[in-house]
Amino acid sequence: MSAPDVRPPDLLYWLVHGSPRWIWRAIGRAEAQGLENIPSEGPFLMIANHQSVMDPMLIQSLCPRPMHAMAKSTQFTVPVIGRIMTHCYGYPVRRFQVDPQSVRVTLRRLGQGHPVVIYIEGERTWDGRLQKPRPGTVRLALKAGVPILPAAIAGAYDVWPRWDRIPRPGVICVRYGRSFSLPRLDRRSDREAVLDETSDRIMAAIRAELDLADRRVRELRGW
Amino acid sequence: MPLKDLLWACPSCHAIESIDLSGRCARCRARFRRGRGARIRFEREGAIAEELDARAWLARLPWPEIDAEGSALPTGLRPPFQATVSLRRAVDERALRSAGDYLGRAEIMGPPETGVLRLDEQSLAFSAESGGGWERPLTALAAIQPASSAIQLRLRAETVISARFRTGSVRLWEQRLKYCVRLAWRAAGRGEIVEFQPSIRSR
Repeated sequence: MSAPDVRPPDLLYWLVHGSPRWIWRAIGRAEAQGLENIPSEGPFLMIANHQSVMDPMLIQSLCPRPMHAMAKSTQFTVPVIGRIMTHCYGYPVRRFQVDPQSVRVTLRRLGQGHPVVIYIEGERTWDGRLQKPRPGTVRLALKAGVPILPAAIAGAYDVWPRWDRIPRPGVICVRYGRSFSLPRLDRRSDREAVLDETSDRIMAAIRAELDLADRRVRELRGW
Repeated sequence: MPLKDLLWACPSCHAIESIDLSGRCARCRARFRRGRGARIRFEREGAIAEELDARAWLARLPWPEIDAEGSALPTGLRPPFQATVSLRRAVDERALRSAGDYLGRAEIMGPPETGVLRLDEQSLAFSAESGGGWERPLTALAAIQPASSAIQLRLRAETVISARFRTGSVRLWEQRLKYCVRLAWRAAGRGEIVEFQPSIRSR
């Protein structure tokens, strides 16, 4: 029996989806670039950097299509937040063990034609720099065989670095890059053979978008 | 997450894990706090104040940068180590569904327990303030995952543990743990570790 498709976005979804954008536009500035690169239909895997705790909210809020997102499992047991996350197409990944169910859900959502966003570094940066990619994300990209859309968020580290407890108003720029294709490799040995070169390719695409987004943030804030 | 987790040593006097929760160095009394954006401002009586980004402060430490893979430790740092932690253990799991779609399972963490975490080349031990505790060989660890100001550990055939560090830097503790686990793996003839998560894998 095939899994049911997800429910279409409802009012609660659009409220949750829009609120980070509205809130941030009231107290800071959030700009999205490259929206024309987001396919209007069909699946794709958006792979982004991770600067702050706000990234998932802003990257998804500024994106016109409802994004499905993998998030750490322990967040889903937080009352209310967990419910909202599943309602807004979040699904859990257990980061301290191989979690085949999160891979299954990702492939299922992509198979149903939905876009999925993943943060390739696996955790927020401590010092603002792009970190090493997690091989699991690259393996998943090679298994999925859907278009890869690199995305970058800049300015979020200056707004809310990992080592501080509170955010400050500031300028954030999200860039959605041009998508590219990767071969779909069903055999594990085939995926492992191209893992490093694929990681480099994805990271180079994210880095290129991040440089442009960084430049835009500096222009907007003037320092 | 406090600044002590980032600045695992004082960039001014180089004392390890001397920065407290308020950002003050216990040895030289230098104070570090957030400046403009994500810059860090240094102030100390009799010294010129400075404001630099995190990378610049980390570059002033006399050791190579934190090595999240745990291949080495800063000079002079040798096990055993200990820190006061708030430890939580997964007590249950919950199946998550949305509109009939099975999404996976999530751990439900139990209440926090304060105590001392001790680490050496062979084992990891916890002594609770309320009495009791446990000790496990490092070869029983199945995964090490940093999370905010905590480190999550999975013990083979047991459960997930989350240790939030009241004292010390979580970044340095991640390095210490991985370094000691590497030593234990080698000593047990399990080879060289290539990944710490989602599961510890060696070649």
